[in-house]
Amino acid sequence: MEMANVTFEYLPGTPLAHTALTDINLTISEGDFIALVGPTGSGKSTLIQHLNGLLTPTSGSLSFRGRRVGVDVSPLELRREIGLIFQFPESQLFEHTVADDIGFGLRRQGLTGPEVASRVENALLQVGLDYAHYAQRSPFSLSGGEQRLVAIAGVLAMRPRFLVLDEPTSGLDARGKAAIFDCLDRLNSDGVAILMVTHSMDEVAESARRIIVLNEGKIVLDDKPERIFAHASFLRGIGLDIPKAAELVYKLREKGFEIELDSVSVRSVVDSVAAAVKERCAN
Amino acid sequence: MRFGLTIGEYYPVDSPVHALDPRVKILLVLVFTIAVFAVVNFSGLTAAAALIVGVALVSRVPIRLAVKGVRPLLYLLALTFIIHLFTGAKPWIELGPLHISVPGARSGALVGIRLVILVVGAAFLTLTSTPIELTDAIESLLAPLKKVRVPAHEIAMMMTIALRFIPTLAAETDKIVKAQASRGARFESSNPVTRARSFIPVLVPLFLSVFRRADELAEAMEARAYRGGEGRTRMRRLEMKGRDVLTLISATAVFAGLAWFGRLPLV
Repeated sequence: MEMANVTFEYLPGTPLAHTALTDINLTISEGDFIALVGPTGSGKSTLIQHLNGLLTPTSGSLSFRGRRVGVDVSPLELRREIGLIFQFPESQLFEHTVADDIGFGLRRQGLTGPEVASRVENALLQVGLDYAHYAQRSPFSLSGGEQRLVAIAGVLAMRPRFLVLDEPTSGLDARGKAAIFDCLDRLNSDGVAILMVTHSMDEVAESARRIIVLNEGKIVLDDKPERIFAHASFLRGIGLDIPKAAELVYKLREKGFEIELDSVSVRSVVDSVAAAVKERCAN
Repeated sequence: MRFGLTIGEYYPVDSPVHALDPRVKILLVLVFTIAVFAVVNFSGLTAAAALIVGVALVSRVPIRLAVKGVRPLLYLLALTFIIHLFTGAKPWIELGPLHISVPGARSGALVGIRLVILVVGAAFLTLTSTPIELTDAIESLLAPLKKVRVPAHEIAMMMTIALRFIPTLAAETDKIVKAQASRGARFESSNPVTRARSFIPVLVPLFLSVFRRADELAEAMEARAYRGGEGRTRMRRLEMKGRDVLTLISATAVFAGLAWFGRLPLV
């Protein structure tokens, strides 16, 4: 997936005109796990809606596997390959049963009976819900976290190769968040590229292998997590946090500890801090 | 879904028309409507159109936005004109099997143009006043009717809430449509039955959300001890200034002149 010089303006030609994205250049490869962060109003939602053709750039172009979106490949085809999950996706549930709701997109594609059933079962499995227990229940009788997993399953049933999520964990409790991340990690290790919009830097630190920082409609940073968080004061300046684990490392470095940092996940930070402390005690 | 200004939506610029008391604007639209109905010649309608262009210039609202409101009326206009064309009086023009009435063509054109002028004129009311200003104005204008038990405050409150939720629900609809499109829904089928069915995945979540919002709003209002109109004071008070009164009187005089001119035996 490639975006070249994409600019997008809302309501062009009226007094309410507003440029949401300016000159975005972005390449997303198979198997990527990207976190898209940025303060409120920085254009994150606008950006991801371009990825599956819901919005068309005012200028610039998008291509998917070398084919121009809107020229060589229609938005409809694009949406089969690229699954987009909006914020609070549970608000899109509408069918009588969980199975029917997940199968909605498949039936729209013209698939029938056994194929739909097996894909639905598979999608439920992917989000970690038991088919026998959930399939015939009404989606409205489930808890918020379960509803969200069902909504995500509805997109996974289409078997996208690239999954885009807008704040998939907002409003969920710790267990709900963990369920979502388990699911995303599993998908990613099966080769599905993932791009998620998030506010929580601690979540970013755990899973993402690449972070894109958006501010005022422009990409300001695009790098590996451990390098991104070296710009701590810049990030704070535009209203973003840095993960607690990374913060600990930087504070210890200020105190003279020599800590190597090749990942900002809690586990690897614990290991490198332990190693540094051990070394200092040995001296 | 489309973005942007819908017909007659508030157009935010500063102008003398925007600054006018909304009550004056409502009253003037009423007077203008009566005047335009009194007009029975084309010269009068031309004068009315000229007045609208004048208002458009002063209000700095592109007249194109006001004219957009006519589009949904086009069928109605065409139908009215055709009915007038074939049901008028003598003299008749015979075009093969068709009998066309000359006075019918004239009155059809008059009615059509009159309707366009009214719609475009009225559009400037909503283009230059915010919905809140309008509901405040309606409450204020209906206030005398409270004596005969017309619930003016409640009517205005209902209108305010309805208007307030239009953009919210539009955004919500947009979001649900996009979410369902992302999972493979299509809305552009040419078969009307398929097309109507394709909106079920949008309507069910939308209704759920409307009821949830209504519930939450009612609770929030009760939590703030809202009890309706009696004895309430307001944050924004409508104040009729000298300029407003002057505009009301002079514009009413102009519209009276328009009605008089429109009844002269001209073309």
